[in-house]
Amino acid sequence: MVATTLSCMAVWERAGVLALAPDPASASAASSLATPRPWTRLGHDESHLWGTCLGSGRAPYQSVVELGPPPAFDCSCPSRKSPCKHVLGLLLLWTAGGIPAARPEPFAAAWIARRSARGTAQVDTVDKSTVVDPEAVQRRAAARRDRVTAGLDDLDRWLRDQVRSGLAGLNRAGYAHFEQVAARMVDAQAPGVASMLRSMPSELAREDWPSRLLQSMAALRLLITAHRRIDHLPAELAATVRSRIGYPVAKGEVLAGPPVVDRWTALGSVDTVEYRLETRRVWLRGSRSRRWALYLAFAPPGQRLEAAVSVGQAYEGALHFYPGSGQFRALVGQVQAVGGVDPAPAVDLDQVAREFAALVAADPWADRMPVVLAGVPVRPEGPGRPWRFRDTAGLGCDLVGLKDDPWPLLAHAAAGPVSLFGEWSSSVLRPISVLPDPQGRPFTNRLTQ
Amino acid sequence: MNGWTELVTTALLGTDRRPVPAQLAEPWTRFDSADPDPAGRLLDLAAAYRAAARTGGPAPRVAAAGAVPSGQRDAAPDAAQQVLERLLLRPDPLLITLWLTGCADHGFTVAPQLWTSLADHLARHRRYPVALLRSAFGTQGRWFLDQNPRWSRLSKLLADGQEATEADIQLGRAERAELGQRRNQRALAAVRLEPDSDRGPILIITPPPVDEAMRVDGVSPRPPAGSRIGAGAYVLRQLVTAAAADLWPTEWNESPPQILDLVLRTAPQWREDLVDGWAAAAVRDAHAGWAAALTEAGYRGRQAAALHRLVPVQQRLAIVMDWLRADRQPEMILELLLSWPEPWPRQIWLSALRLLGTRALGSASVDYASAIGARIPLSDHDAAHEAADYYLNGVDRPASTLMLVRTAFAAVDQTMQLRAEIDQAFGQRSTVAGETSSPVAADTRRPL
Repeated sequence: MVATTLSCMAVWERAGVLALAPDPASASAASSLATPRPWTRLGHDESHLWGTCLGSGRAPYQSVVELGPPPAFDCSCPSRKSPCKHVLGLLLLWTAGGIPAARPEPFAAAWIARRSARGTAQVDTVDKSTVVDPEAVQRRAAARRDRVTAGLDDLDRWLRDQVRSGLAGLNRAGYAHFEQVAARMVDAQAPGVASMLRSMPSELAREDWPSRLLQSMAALRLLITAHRRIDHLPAELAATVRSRIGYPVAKGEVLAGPPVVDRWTALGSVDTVEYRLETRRVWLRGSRSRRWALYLAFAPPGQRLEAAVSVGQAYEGALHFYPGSGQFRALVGQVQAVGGVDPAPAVDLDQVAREFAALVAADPWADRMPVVLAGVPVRPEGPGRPWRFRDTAGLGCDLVGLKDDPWPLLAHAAAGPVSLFGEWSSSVLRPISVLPDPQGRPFTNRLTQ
Repeated sequence: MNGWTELVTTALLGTDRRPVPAQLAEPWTRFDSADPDPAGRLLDLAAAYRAAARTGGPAPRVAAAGAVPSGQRDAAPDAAQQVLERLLLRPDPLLITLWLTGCADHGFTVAPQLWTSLADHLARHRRYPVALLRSAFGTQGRWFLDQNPRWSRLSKLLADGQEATEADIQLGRAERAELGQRRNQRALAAVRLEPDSDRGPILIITPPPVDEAMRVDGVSPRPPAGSRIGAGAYVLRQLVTAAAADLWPTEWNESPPQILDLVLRTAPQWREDLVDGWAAAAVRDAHAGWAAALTEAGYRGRQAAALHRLVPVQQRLAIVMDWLRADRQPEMILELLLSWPEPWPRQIWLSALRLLGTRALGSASVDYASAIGARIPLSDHDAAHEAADYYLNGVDRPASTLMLVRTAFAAVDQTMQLRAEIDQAFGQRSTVAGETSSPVAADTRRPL
């Protein structure tokens, strides 16, 4: 599927629009609004769409979309969903070529002007804040490193105490046991370490918790040791250590780094919520560079998650990668939506094992890696046993992170092996989406959520 | 005990109680730590183990699942799949049936990405023609249904549909004739015409107990669990249904309308069973005489729609006109109208819209409206719109019914829009790879 272009403007794919829908009901309602009948005053320019839609209210609803990225929208309807069905319907109508080029209607022009004014104000603020004193920056960095060092020394003592007195019984200790020390790490400005500590209690319900807990503690010990030697580590590995600990990296610094220009396709995403902070991790793959990228979007409590990229959409343009070996994380620079998901080459499990070994060598704390595997799902051998995925060579792995049995995935595979995109973690796969292939399978997202 | 297990055991008990092994087992002998503290040394060794373990060994071999049958027909075009996907979010059996019919008529199957949601819907709603479903899923879709115990009933129904058809074909002509004779004799023995009887002209002999021979011929002694019918009435109904529809006019020398008049003077507790039995037999035997008589008598049982379709069109039109003049129940008239063969002429759909717009149909009006919207020719969409506008705005009515009528006409419009969308979606491909004609003949569309 290739996006069409209307008057120099790349039109999104239908899947990309539906990926914005807050729930399936909105997607359904939007589909019925994707015809010109309820719309008047329709139009688009280079970066905006607008129209008024006759709804159940007395006055038609006024909908405006800024294509971004990231996209932004506004609608005068009373719906609390964002984007609402009118905005989604407007976008769908646009993907079908149903909106003419025009000059913005007054209601659209007013909204665009308000956003523009706000953007300028933000840029002014940034500009003022970027006037910094280099010495002060250095002093702050040194102070932060001292606090982190002290915090990690404290953590090292805590870890030794656990192992000295024995882990037996920790499975009944509860979250508080780990939360206390995690909170100390937050105070020590090591939020990455705090996050690793907070993930430990979830291991304790498993049968093999002693082994898993010891592995997690060993990972922390390795991070402490690496930080103590950080000045002697290769620059890339040192950056990875800082990243894992949670040293901040300024967005401007990342965006100032060299761009990686490619056709980047968003193949899948996973949403998580930790401490009421909503996070979306979107995986992108570069068609020419064959490089993977991870884009993270966050939404604090009460705010809507706004991602610069939509799953199912391809973008031509630049990503800027965070420093560090084995790092996937990147920021989105100047990109333009150019189409949908193209077939991607798949690998087998032998290749995946080799790639993960290389990743762990570059980043010993890496816990997931994006992969495209060709194969078929295999039903569990009995009650309580996991679903598995069998690659084309006959090797298999367990499927994890499934909210429900993956019947849709089995349906896709009825006609033969599918190209499955997912997150690989040591020996298990979290399936995320089925990729299009030459047999005509369409892109299908959110297999596990 | 391997090296990792030793480390985990030591960590569980604590290095104060159990020493860290001095010499680790192969292949871990190369790992060590310079930390003099046993706890620190254990953590260092665990970190080294972890790194080695996470790179993992070779993946295990997994046996292939059972073979999937081949020969799946092409999936419906993307635009059509999008319509079905939308319908499944708020399932309406009528609209989904329209889609499935379009799919079958064009020789397509449902795409695999919708099998799960369609199967989940069908597992809860039973009123779909089996043949449409068999066609919609295709060979691979039916294999897919077999995999999940949650859909076992559906899977069995689709499989049984096939077996029943084959069994019928295998029954020889002579055997069928003998079976028919036995059934007729049993029915005549149970239901007698005795015009001079004090107990009414049609005498019901208490149905006999079901013996082995009757069982072999398909008579069941007990009604299905949960049904409210008594055992005797259930047997009577089966006997009358199984007999030929033509048996009664021939044996009694009375026409179906005359027989129905006689029924009015029969013991009331048997009336419904007799009439339902005759109606079912009339549908099975396509008996136009019985169909016309029962329709004119206002029969509204389960077989009503099928009976209406057996009445010759001119006779049906005459009945509709009579009923409209006589101001009979709008539901009765609408049900007769809904049996009209498609394409509907203007006179028929106008009558249907008029009833919808002017008569009190209550909450059932939306169901009737969807059914009407499923039948008005799409070329008459604009004209139907105008007619609806007239009935909505040009007729005096109580304000309380305005919203209901408006909703009903909206349902007509919505259904017609959906049909247009389905037509357009399926029409995007004019030829079908693999099969060139629909695998579902109209007469094989049996309801679930």
